[in-house]
Amino acid sequence: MALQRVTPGLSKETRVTTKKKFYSDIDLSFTPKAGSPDANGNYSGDIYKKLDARAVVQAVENILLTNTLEKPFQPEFGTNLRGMLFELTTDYSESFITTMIENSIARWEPRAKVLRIRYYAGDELIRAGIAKFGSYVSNEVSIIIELEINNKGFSTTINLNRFR
Amino acid sequence: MTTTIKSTELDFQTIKENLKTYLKGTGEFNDYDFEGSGLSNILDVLAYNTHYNALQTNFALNESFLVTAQLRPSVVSLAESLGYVPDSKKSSEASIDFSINADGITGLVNDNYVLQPGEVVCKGERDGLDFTFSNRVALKATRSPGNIFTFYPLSTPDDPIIVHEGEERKLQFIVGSSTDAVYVIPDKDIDIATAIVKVFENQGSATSVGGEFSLFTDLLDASTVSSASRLYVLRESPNAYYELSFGNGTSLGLAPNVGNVIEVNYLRSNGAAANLVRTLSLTSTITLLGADQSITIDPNRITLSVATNGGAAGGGEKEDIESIRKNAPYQFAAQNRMVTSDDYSALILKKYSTFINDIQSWGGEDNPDPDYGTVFTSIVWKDGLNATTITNTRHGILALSDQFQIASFSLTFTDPVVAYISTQTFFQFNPALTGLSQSNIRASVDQSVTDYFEENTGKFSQTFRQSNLLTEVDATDPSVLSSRTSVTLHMRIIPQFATTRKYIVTFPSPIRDPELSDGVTVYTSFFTFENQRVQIRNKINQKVQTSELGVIPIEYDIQATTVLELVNENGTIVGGGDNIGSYNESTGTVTINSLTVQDVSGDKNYFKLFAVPANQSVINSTRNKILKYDADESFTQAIIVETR
Repeated sequence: MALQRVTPGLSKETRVTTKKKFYSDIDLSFTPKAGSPDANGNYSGDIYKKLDARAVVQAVENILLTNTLEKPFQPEFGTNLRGMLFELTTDYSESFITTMIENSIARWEPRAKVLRIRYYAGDELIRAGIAKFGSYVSNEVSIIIELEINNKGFSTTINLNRFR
Repeated sequence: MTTTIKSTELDFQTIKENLKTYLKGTGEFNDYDFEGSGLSNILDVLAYNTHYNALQTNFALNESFLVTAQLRPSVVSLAESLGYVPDSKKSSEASIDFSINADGITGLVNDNYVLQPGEVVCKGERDGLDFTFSNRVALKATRSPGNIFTFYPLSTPDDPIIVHEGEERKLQFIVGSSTDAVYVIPDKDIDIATAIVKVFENQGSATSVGGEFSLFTDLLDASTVSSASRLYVLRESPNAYYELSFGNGTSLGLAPNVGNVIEVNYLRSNGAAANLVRTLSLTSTITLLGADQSITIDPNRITLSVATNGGAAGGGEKEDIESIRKNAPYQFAAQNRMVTSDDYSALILKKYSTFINDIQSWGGEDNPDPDYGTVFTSIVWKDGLNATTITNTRHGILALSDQFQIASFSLTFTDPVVAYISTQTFFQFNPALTGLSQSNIRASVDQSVTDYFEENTGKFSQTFRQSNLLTEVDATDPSVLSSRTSVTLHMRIIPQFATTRKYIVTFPSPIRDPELSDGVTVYTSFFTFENQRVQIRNKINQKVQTSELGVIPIEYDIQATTVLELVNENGTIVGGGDNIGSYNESTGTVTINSLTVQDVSGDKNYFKLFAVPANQSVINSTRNKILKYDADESFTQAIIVETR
């Protein structure tokens, strides 16, 4: 009689299902998984993955933080947010940046839909609780982008800080 | 798992797509298709790196072959591997007459005097720029009656004195212990043909006046190389300077020894800028050795004049990349010896490229009248060269052939003969297909015709093809629907006025059979004969018996023939010119047996001889024939149509 391998806890009637991961990307922080250190004390495990919505959010952040003409052979890729650093923080700039963000995400990241974009500049950051009271925030702008991914809401924040 | 990474793709996007194809097979990551994903960024880096390396490899491979190399150092280096030394700048040169009237000068006891290279320095001017000319060979003069010393080249007394343009430079190198040393001459404007390389025993002899030295000669001028040969190689280095090197001391010629001093004397040339300098004035002081002391000659006693009427000539720029690419394989094939007719062209062009626009050589066995043992060369000289320069260059070419030919062939110069092509072009033109006017389109068609001839004629061994011309015409504009053209050849006869003589003209192609047309096939433009305006043409109304001999009734027909007649403007035969010559259809030769031309019309010194070629489709130029376009005899005409 042939031997039968039996997995503990599973019977013949048990249906094993896995949750389908639609999106998978590498984690650009390149953090290695915990493993055993080598002779030099470095961990050499695989890097983490970004899955599903978190992969899409990472892609959106990439798009927002990339300037046009930055990517080889794709000069139009990116949002050019850093190019706006030397513009005045006026309502006109906000609407302009909103258009830039919406257009670039619509073009380069079809998995995400922009729901709302909020801006906080200077003291607004403190009032909104984004920056701590007493922080030097006169050169800082936070852009909070609310996204819809797979019918769920997510948000990501881009901070633009002029150093001088 | 599919592994479809194609390593031969160079394009960035294609490389990236290949990487994506690979990732599709792995299933590990799915986001490669989204440009914002981290994976896409990684693929960008990988693809860019691959693309960069592929291009680098491609460039490196391109630079490895003469036909594809783009950088001058690569082309020069590859040409040198074929034994080809690219031309440096070339100094303009002029022949001069130079003499001293020593009558009344006391102390000149010698009957012969020698001036060393560089002792005769003169200045010329062109377009506001001054140029310096000097002698590169020793000159000698012998006292003649009247105490006149007329100088001539010491080694070639029958040749004129040649002075070369350029600023004289001198460099000295002390030979060290290193073997295979290369001595760099940091000058991009050197004329390597003017280099004089001397090797002194030591620094003492190099610095003393009259120190003993050994003279080395250019390897390119050597016919044999032995262990005793004193040869040098002067060639362009990758940084466009020049490198001097010597033999290995054994089988490849003598090498300077440790402690020797190498002295290089050369001219820094201004190239073609000094061409056409017409007058020269002496700037150096001429000193001749007297009985007790050197005697400085009063400039008023010195006569110096440019012998060449057209002035200095032969200056040229450094050989460009395309010229090197074209000439190196020919030079390699010639192997520095004249065996085939192409060898003659290659070696002559190599040495005299600054004088020659185009050259064609062929063996006498290929002549219509074979002349075995003779090589014919036909040269199109550069503009502005005068007869003296051309004569001197021909002497040089003959000397060159004596040096390099391996059989006793005689070299004969033949002037190029130009055959002019005129076209009568008609094109179907639909005005509805263009916004341009008929005159504009016609001007464009004229330009197309001119462009075709500029590109395809004007040099030796070129061919006119009617179909190619019409293709250009049809491509002028979409409104030009189709076209046709008829071709006429003509050659120019320069007559000796008021002198009766025979004229033989050979066209580059066979001439049409006279019976194939009712019109004339061979005819001339009008000229003056016995105070009448006349022309020569082939008979188109010759009475020819068509019935066989002895058959009655005798039948005649009126036919055009190859017989030539002399007629006035009314078509009446004049001066008994019923039969003054004929033409041979197959050889294309027109013979006028006897003709006395009184004058030609207009300000020209020639009249034109026209012929309709037997084959309108193609005209070949062989041997010394050159085809050119004659716009004055050509026209284009639009035929308006409404079809599309």
